[in-house]
Amino acid sequence: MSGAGRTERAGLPGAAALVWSASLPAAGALSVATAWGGWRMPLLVVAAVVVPFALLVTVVRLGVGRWAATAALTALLVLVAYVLGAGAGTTFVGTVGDAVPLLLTEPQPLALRADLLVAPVLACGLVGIAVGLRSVRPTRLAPLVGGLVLYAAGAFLTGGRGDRVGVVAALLLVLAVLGWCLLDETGEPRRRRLVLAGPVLVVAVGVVASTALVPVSGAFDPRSVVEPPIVRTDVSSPLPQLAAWAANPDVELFTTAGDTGPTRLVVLDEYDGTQWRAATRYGPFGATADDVLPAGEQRRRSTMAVRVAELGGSWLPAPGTPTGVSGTEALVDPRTGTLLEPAGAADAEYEVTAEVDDPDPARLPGATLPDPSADLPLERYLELPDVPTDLWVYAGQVTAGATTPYQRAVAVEDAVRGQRRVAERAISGSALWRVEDFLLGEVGTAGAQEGTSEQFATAFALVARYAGLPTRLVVGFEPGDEQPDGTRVVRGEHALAWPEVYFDRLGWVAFSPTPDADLGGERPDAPLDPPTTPPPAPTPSADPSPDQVDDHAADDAGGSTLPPRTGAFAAGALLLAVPLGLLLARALRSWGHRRRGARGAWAEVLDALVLAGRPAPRSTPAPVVGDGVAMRYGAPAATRLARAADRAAFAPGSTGAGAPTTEDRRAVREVRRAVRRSVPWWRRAWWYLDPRVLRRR
Amino acid sequence: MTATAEGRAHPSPTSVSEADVAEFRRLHQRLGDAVESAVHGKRAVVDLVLVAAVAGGHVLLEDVPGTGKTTLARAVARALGGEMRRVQFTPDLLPSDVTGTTVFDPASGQVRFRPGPVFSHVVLADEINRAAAKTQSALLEVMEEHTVTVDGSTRAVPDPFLVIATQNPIDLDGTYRLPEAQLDRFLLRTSLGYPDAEHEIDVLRPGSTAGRVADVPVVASPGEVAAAGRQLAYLHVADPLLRYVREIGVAIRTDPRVRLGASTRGLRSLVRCLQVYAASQGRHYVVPHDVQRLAEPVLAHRTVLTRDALLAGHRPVDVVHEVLDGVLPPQPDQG
Repeated sequence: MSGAGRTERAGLPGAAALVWSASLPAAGALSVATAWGGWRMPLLVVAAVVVPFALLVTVVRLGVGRWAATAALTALLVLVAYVLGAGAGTTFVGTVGDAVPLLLTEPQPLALRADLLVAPVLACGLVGIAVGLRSVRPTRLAPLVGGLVLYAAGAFLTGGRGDRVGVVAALLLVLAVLGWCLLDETGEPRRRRLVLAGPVLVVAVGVVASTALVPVSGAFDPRSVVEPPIVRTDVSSPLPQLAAWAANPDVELFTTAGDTGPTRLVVLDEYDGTQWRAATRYGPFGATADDVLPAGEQRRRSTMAVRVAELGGSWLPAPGTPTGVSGTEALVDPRTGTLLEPAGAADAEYEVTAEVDDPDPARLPGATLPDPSADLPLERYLELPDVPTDLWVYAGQVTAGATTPYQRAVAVEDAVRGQRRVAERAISGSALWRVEDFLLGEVGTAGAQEGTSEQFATAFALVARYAGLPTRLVVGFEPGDEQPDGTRVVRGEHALAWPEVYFDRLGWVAFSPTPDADLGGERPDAPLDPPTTPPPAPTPSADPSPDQVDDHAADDAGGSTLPPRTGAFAAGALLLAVPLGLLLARALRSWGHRRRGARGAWAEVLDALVLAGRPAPRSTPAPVVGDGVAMRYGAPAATRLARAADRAAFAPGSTGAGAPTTEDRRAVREVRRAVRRSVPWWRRAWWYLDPRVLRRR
Repeated sequence: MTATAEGRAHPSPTSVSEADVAEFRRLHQRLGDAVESAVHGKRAVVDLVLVAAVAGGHVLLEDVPGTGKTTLARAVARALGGEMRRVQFTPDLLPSDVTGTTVFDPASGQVRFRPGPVFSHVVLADEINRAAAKTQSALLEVMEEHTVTVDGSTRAVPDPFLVIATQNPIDLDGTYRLPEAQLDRFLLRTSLGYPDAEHEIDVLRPGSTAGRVADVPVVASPGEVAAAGRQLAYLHVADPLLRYVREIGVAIRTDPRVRLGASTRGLRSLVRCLQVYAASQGRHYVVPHDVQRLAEPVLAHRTVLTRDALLAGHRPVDVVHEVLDGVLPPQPDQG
C-alpha cells in the first residue's frame, strides 16, 4: 500500500465511529415514528436511515468517489420513494408537495399508508446519506445534527406529544456525549473521559428536563395554521334520544371493558333557550381549536375497549377526553372531546384512550373560578338566553347562602334535586318553558317537579350559569352492569345527562342533580358557612404555574393518575439543582480557601491541578509540586506559593489563618490561568462546576 | 542568644531566628563552596557531610576507590579550619593505634599519653571494614562517646568531631563487616559516586583544582561550627513533621522485609539532621521535603533486611523509598 493510500485509510472512521454516526440519526428517526405508533414504523424509519448510510460508507470504502456515490444513492432513494408513492395512486410530486399538510392534518396515530410514508422515508434516507457523507469529519457534529433534524421533524409532526417525557431526546444526548467521549482521539484514557462525561451528561439532561419550567401554553402547534379536514354532522343533540333509551331500559347499547367509570357520548355546551347543541365540526386527532379550556391539573388516563351494539347514531362513547382511538377512523371535536364515527357507530369495535379530570376531592371546597384576566373562552359556558323573571328569582334564592363557587354549585345541585322525582315518561325537552315548569310548576300539573335527567341537568345548568358558574351538559351513561368476564353491558336504563362546572386548575367537575344517578367518584361535603381559611386566589395563568406542585398526582404516580407536568418539573428542578449545588459548593470551597492565607492559596493551586486532570500526588511535597507546575505550565508563581504555604504550615508561630496577601491572590490567579489554558475548551467550560475537587481532602 | 553569668552565649530554646539561620546559611555556603573547589560536581554529598559535621554526627562513605572520598574528608577538615587525621584501617591495626596509648618518656622519666588520630576535628577512617572488630569497636566507641579512656583516664576529643569512614562495597575479601548495631553510630551514609561527564572532564583537565586540598580556603573555625550546631538543636520542627518522621520509622520497622529498622535514636538523628539541613536551606523550620531528602542517607543504613528479602534482591534503600511513597507527608493545605 502506498503512503497516500495509508493516509487515506487512516482518515476513515473506524467501525465504532460508523455505528455511532448511524445511531444518532436513527434515534432521531424514532421521534418521527411516534406519529404512527406500533412497531413497524420505527423499524421502517431506522432502516430508511441506516441502509443509505451503510451503502454510502461501503461504496466509498470500495473506492467510489463520495459525491458520485451520494448522487447515485440519492437518485436511488428518490426512485424508491417514487415507487412507494405510485402505489398510493398519486403523483410523486403531488405526494411530496402535499406531504406536510397531509401529515399534519391526518388523524394520529397515522396509518401505514403509502402516501403518508413517502415523505418520512425520503427525509430519513436523505439524512442518512448526509450523515454518511460527513462521517469522515473529525468534528463529529453531523450525526448529532442529523439526529436533531429528524427529532425536530418528529416533534413538529406530533406537536411534541411523541416524546412527551423526552426519552428520545435523552437517548440522543447520551449517544452524542458517549460518542464524543469515547471516539475522540485524545491521549486521555477512555475511562477518565467517561467519568468526566458523567457530570456533563447530568447537566445536559438537566437542561432538557428544565424545559418543563418553560410555560408551554403558547407553544406553537402546526395544526393551528393548517386547516384540518372537517366533517359536519347535522344531528346536534342526542338529548331527544334519552327518552327513547329510558323507554327501552333493557336494550343493550354497548359493552365496555377496562375503565369502570361513566362514559360520555356527547358534550353539549351551547344553549339557545330552546335546546342544547353539540359541536357539528369534527376533525382528526391532533387538530386543535382556539376555544379549548385548559384541562385540570390532576387528570387520570383511562383506557376502555368498546363494542357498540344498539347505540345508533354516529357518536362513540368514551370515558373522557379522547387522546387516541384504535380500530376505527373516528374524528374528534377538539373543544369538547366528543368522538364521532362518520360512517356510523353501528357495530363499531374500538379501544379508546382518554384523559379525565380527576381533582382531589379535598381541593373542591376551595375551588375557584378562572380569573377574568386570564381571558379564557368562558362566554359559551355562561351564556343565558332571556330567562323568565321567575327563574331569575329562583336562581338568586338558591345561591343566596353560598359564598364560594363550589358552595354555589352544590347549593344548585341540592336545590334542583330537591323533592323532585325522575319520571321516565315525563315531558321531554330542554326549552326554557320546560325548565320553568319543571322547577316552578305546581305539583300535579304536567311536567312540574318531575322529569328525566335532561330536565334535571338543564335546570342545573341554567341556575348555575345564572350564579356565574361556567357550565355544560354531558350526555353519557352510568357504568353498565358488570358481567362475569369483567366487561360491562351498558343498557338504555344507564343513559344519563349530567352537568359539569369548570373550576380554575381543577377542570370540569361533574355534578349529579338527578336523584339516584350514579356517576361514581368522591364528593366532599360542602360547608354552607364560609371556610375558615379563604380559598387560594386564582392564578391568572391558564396553565399550572411551575410552583404549583401537585401532591395528589405525585401520590398516584404509580397508579393510573396522570402526573401533569409536575413530575417533569420536579425532575428538571432537581437536575438544575445539581449544577447549582456544584457551583455553590465550589464557591464555598474557594471562600474557605481564601480565609486560610497562603495555605488556602496553595489549596487553590492543587484544586486547579485536579481540574486540569493532573492532580498532585499526596506523597509529593509542596515545593516539588510547585516546581513542577512552574515548569509545566510556565507559572513561576507556583513555586513561591508552595514555599509560602510550607512556611505558613510548618514555621513556628504560624497558624496559616488569615486572608492571603494581595501577592498570594495574584499568584493564585496567575497559576490558575496558566493551568486552565492548558486544558481543552470543553474542560475550561466545565471548570467552575467540576465536582472532582470536592473529593480532594 | 542569651548571655549567661559567665558571659558565654548559649542558645535558648526559641532563639533560632531567621537572622541566625541566614547567618548559618552563609557559613554553610562558604564551607560548601570551599569544599567544592576540591571536590567537583558533588555539592549534594558535600552538603550532607557538612550537615553531619554541624549536627555532630559521623559519615559513612560507601564507594569504590578513586571517587574522592579522602579528598572530600581532607577538604572538609581544611575548610572547617580544624585538624584532620587519616587512619588506614588494616587487619593488623590495633585499637591503640586509633585512640592513642601511654608511653614512657625516657627524657622526662614519666609515662605520658600519646594521642591517637582520633584526637582531631576530622578523622578519615579509610576502609574501616578492613580492620578487626576490636579496632572498629574502639573507633565506634569514640564516635559515640566523644571521649577516649586509656589507663583509667578519660580524655575528650575536639569539638566538632567528625569521622568520615569509608568502605569499599565490592571488594569484600578479607574484610570485617561492620556490625549492624554499630552502623547506627553513623549519622548518615552516602556515596560520592563517579562525577558526571562535565565534571569528570573538568577533573581531567590539566591545571584543574580538583583534588588540590591545599588550595581549599579555611572559611570557618571549629568553634564556630560547633556553636552553630548547638544553636540549631533548637530549630523548630512542627509536630506534624515529628509524627511524619515517626510514621516513617514505624513503617520501616513493620515492613515484612525488614529484620531491624531504625531505632528511636535513629529517628532522633534524622530530626537532628533535618534541623541543620533546613537551616542550610535558609529556613528556620523544617518541611516535609527535608524529611524525604534525608530519609535515605539517615535511615537506609539503619535498616537491616531479612535473609529472604536479601535473597529476593531487595535493598534497604528500596524499602526506605517505598515507605516514603506509602506514608503521606503532612501537606500545607491540610488542617
